[in-house]
Amino acid sequence: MNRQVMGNWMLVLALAVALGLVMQAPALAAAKQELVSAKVKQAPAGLDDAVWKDAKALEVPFEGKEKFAGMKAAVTVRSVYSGDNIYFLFHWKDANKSVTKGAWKYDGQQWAQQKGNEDRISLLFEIDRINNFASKGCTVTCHGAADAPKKEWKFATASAAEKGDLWHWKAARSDPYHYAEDGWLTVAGEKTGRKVDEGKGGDAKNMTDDKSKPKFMRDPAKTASAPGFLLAEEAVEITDYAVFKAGDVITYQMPKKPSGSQADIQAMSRYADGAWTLMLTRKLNTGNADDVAFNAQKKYSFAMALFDDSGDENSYDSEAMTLAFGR
Amino acid sequence: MDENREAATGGQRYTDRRGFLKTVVLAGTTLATAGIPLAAYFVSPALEKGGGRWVDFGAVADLNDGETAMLSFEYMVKDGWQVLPQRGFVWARRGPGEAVKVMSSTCTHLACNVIWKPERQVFECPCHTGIYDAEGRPISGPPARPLAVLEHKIEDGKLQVYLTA
Amino acid sequence: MTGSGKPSGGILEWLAIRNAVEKLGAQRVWSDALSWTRFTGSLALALLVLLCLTGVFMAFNYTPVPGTAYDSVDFAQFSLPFGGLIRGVHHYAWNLLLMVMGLHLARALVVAGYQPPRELTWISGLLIMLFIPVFIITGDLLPWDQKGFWSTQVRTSIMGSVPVAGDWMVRLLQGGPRTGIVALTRFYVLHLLVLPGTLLLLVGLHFHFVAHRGVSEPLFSTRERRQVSLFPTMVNRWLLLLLIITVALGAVAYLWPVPLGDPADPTDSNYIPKPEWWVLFLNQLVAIFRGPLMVLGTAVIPGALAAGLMVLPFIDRGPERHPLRRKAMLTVIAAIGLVLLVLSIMGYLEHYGPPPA
Repeated sequence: MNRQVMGNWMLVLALAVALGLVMQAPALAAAKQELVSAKVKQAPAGLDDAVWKDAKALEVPFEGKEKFAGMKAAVTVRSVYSGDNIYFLFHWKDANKSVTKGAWKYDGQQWAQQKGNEDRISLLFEIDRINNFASKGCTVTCHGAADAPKKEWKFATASAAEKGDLWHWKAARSDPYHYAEDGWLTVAGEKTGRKVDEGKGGDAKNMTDDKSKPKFMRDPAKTASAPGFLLAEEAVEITDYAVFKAGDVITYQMPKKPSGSQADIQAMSRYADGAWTLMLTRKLNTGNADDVAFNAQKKYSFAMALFDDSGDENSYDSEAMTLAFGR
Repeated sequence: MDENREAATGGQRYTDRRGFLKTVVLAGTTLATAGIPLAAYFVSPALEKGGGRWVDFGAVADLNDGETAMLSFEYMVKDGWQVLPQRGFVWARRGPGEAVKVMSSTCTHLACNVIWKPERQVFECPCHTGIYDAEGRPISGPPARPLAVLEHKIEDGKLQVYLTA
Repeated sequence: MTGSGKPSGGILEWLAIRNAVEKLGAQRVWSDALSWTRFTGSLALALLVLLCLTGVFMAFNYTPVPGTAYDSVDFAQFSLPFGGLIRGVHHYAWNLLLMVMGLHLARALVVAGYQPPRELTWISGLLIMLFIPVFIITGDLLPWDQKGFWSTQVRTSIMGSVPVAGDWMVRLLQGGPRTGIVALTRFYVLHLLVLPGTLLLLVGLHFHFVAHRGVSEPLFSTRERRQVSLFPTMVNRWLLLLLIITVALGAVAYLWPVPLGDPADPTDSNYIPKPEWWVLFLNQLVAIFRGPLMVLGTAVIPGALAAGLMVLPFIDRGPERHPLRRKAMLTVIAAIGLVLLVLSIMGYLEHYGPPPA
């Protein structure tokens, strides 16, 4: 009797193991790249925190578009989550640190805007499902008549029911305040479908009405919280242009202090040894309607774009990827 | 006399049989009355023809001689009560000379999309590794039939392809 | 008996079910009908009950519209309490059901449970077994995810390869040439209404024959057989089994949450559906027979296999039931089983193993 009971338990056990094995199999089928956000006890304090070792690195290939057509790039991405927050760590090679963004330069005679853009990286998630985003990535957010020039194409979703969450780190315009611009994507209006979240932020143009020179300089009474950048909150109107000497540089697009839902994504960055390292931090669920709310049970589709000292059309784009959460 | 006796002894059975026949006739009539409209209702969407259309793929001159190009299309189709975009692609090969051959991307095995591999000059089906040569003839793997050649015409230098479904 | 008020017979009389209840109470069944040596049938019934229950509740939050269907499943699974568990239990239950029914069938093959007078028990059971895949095929499309959509494409093209009637069958099933809103609605109604109704009939038939022809006598146990009451003894045993399997599947669904893949993109040529474990042997058959022989793999061999099982009770009529005295029959069955297993392993390696160099 006992032998029989044991034999039957073995059978039940074998059945359970078989079920488990069979169920695991489809997990191997994923063709898309999957970034697994590891669950960690201690939140990462910085770019070099030991906790990042717990997160499996994902090497994401990027393909150049427009000006960068035919070129390739790669970003190493890691992610962890802890408590209420999710953390992303990005690392990518970039021969030049580009933060000029048209800054003014004085040559002793007159002011001129320097050539040069900025380095940026952006992520797009779905707030409300964007049709075929999961399989096609950001290409489905590119809208325009087939015969219209690419410059007139709009970055948008196909309908107001489709909603994207756009994380946009800008080396010159959002990083000085240690955040990434938090926007969202909807159907195109007059211009693109890109919107910024509720609250304040962004940047202010530093230019006189005749567009010949900067209008603001650093307020001597305030200490520079972001050396090399003129923040809008630390600026004061220039009264005497005689104080400047040749070679002086002043920020053209002055970062404004973010607040509200625009301040959701904190950033920490470093440019060293020809590479950017960037950490982004956000609440898993900000409670804001213009943000994707992460549920650790679920998988999310996302895609990324990289801008190397370039404007919006000239980017390196990734394919759509999956963000999953470890348990 | 015999008939009478049979009717007398088997009267009960006789009535039963008649009742049963009645049941059969009634049920059959009901089934036919209700069944014909119901069956027609169920079957009719399946009869809908996919229909075909000429799709413009732009200038033939855009196709390089001797190269096989992926041409994507999108048009609206009506699926029952829903209008949806139908998207996909065909493979077009130009050359030698002005000859153009347009092939369906649908694998003749199990309808996966075949992909052109320029380095090996073959079409490959990722599902069961079916291989076709540049002309769409099956070389190896499960497919037995060549890729469907699609009807095309060239009007004002533009390539038009007739697509069904 | 007066026409007003509660009659003297009590509540049962009042409900006019006293006869039925008394009959049920007097019903006695063999004690080993649900025991350690014979539980697959009862387990399969428990799983069917669970499938029905979870299915009905999933339907409360489901809309059969392409795209929206995915959103509704996503909402139910991740935004509703126990949503993931309910979908998970449904998912694991049908996977387990296939295995349990396989064991049920294997047991009947080994101990010759199909022999007269139980031919019709066997045939009705086979019909149920052949019927379950139709549930899976229709159910797979419902979440409108990539896997379900592309698996459906493969299945309909296999169906379509059947000569003459194939294309027609596909059109009738899908309500047209493509897998869109009409197809989804049809699959939905089949899965939720038509198939469960038919299954109920088949299960009723199976139980009818089990009740009237009895279960086969045990071959190996030397202990004396005894009878127990159907109600409550046997019913309680079964309820305990139901409870255990519910908790077990709930735990499995909690520990290994059932994934919801990406929403279906009918234009995505990159997605390659991988056949599920239970259909690997069929898929391999389809891959082996090419060109004009394809119909062998898609229809002839599976059909012959099913037909062979159907007529088995009329070939092996007994009275020898002991496996050691039915060596020839069991060798043939084992050989076929082995071939199916090898095909499945080949299929597994092809679709889930390392990519070929």
